[in-house]
Amino acid sequence: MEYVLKINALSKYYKNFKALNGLSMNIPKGAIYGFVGRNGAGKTTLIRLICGLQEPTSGDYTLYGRKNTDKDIVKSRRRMGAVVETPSIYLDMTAEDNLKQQYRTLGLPSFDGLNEILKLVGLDHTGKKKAKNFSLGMRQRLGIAIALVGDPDFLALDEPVNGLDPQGIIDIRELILKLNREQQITVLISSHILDELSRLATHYGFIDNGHIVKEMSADELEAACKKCVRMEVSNTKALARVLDEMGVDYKIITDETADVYAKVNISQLTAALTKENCEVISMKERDESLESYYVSLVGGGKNA
Amino acid sequence: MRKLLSANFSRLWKDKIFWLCMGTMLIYSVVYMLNGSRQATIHLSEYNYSLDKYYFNFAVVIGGFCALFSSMFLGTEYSDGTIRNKITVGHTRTNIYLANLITSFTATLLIMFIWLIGALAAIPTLGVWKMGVPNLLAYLFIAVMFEAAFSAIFTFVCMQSANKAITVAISMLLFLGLLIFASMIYNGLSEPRMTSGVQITANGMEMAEPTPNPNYVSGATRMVYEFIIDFLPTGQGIQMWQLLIGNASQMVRMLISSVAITVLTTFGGIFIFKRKDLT
Repeated sequence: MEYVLKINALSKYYKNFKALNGLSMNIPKGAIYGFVGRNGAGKTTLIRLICGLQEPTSGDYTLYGRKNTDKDIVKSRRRMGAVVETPSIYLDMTAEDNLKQQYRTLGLPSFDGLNEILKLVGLDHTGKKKAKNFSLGMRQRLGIAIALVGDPDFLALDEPVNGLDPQGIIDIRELILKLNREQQITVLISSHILDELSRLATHYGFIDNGHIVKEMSADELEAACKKCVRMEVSNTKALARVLDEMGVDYKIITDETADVYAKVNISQLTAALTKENCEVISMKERDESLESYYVSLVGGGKNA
Repeated sequence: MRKLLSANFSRLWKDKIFWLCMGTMLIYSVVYMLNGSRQATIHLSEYNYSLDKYYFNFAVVIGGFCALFSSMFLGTEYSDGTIRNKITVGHTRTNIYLANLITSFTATLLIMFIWLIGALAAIPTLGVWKMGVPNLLAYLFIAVMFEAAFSAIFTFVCMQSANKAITVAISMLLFLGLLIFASMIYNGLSEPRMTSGVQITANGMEMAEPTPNPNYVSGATRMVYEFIIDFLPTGQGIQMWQLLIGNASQMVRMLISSVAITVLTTFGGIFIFKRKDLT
């Protein structure tokens, strides 16, 4: 598998505080990599390091085949765009002027594609309105638009939907999916809004206390969070016998409840249970959410 | 570097603070020179005023304009977070620092030029410079060099602090501090060696016998004072305003001082900025 970013035992200390503690992870090319962790877990610190805003205390990373200690790492950085925490935009400029600034910063010979980028992020009708008068969602989209100048292959987005209203969240989600599918841009997206990430990500890295506790693909996560039917019956022993005969996975929770990990024919199951003098009190389809999976990985009790 | 300069200058032309500084300096120069012309007309026969006396007044205040402009313009890069856009796309910190220094210096030069142009308003009354073209050019060259020193100092301040409000406050206070310090040194050096008071006698008012002035700065202390006032850009500005830059060795000393300040603060600034954790 080809990787855009490979991180090896990266650490960042601020005096005695370990923001990153031997973090290792790999971002495959073409992926939308969901970087999941509670506030203060080290997500933003990692993005700052790979953007070159800060230097690691130890460890290294390889961006497009170049190590961070390599002088030519700046050439790899030219292939990336980023929005770190808040959008980096000149508040006293219009959306168009902000983009022009980034064109100049990159040394692009013309402003070709500027209108397309504005249209892509839905800011093509903002005219002379200055960024300081934009809504939070518009600023976020402008930040992404600036990150898109120069046709980057890799986008690092730090909490891009933080503080947005539902429509703003949908807009950003659709934009990221569009960029990934239509322009094959690899995206690293950090968030603690797990439900939102689950609609986007193809790969996940779960971070806690500055290191990765689990890295997996969306398929692997789906398997880990498999759907089940929670059944409440009068006799779980009878239920177990019936399910064993049907060859279905299950887990007895209490004397009256059990989780059944398969799509079962309800009529057949209830008929079989009736023969065993077992009453079905209730049935409810449920799945282990990304959130509960995350909590099981890093342990609850904190501000996940 | 060229790309960064292109981005910085395109922002400069649209920057309100820059144009505010330019406008203020133009109005200040015209009003100051017209007021000087009026005074010269009143006292012309007695004091023989010339354009020179007023033309270099900018030298005292240009550092304040540099401090204000640099802290507002460069502070925006931090407050709006746009410095991240430059680093993320691969520009080196050294280039970012130097591009900002060049932008600050260019803006300060333009603010000086607008003074020099506005100050020509006094020519119809006061005539042209009496100091002669070589001296005029030497004065202007010294001014350009101490403006570079000012730009280097305030770029240093602006690139180390991520808080724009603090940057503006520190820059302005630093300028005022340097100006007050240089003024104190200048006052010390201006003390006469001997003083002679007036005494009232039976014959009326008489000049007293000259006595040594206890406030006169002499010996090694005087040499230190002279070094400091020639070294500091604010000291150079005060001497330029008072037309006290007289000999070639003093001019050279001033130029070397400005170059030393510019080089040292820039190297130091880049060294610290390269190691700074940006957020």
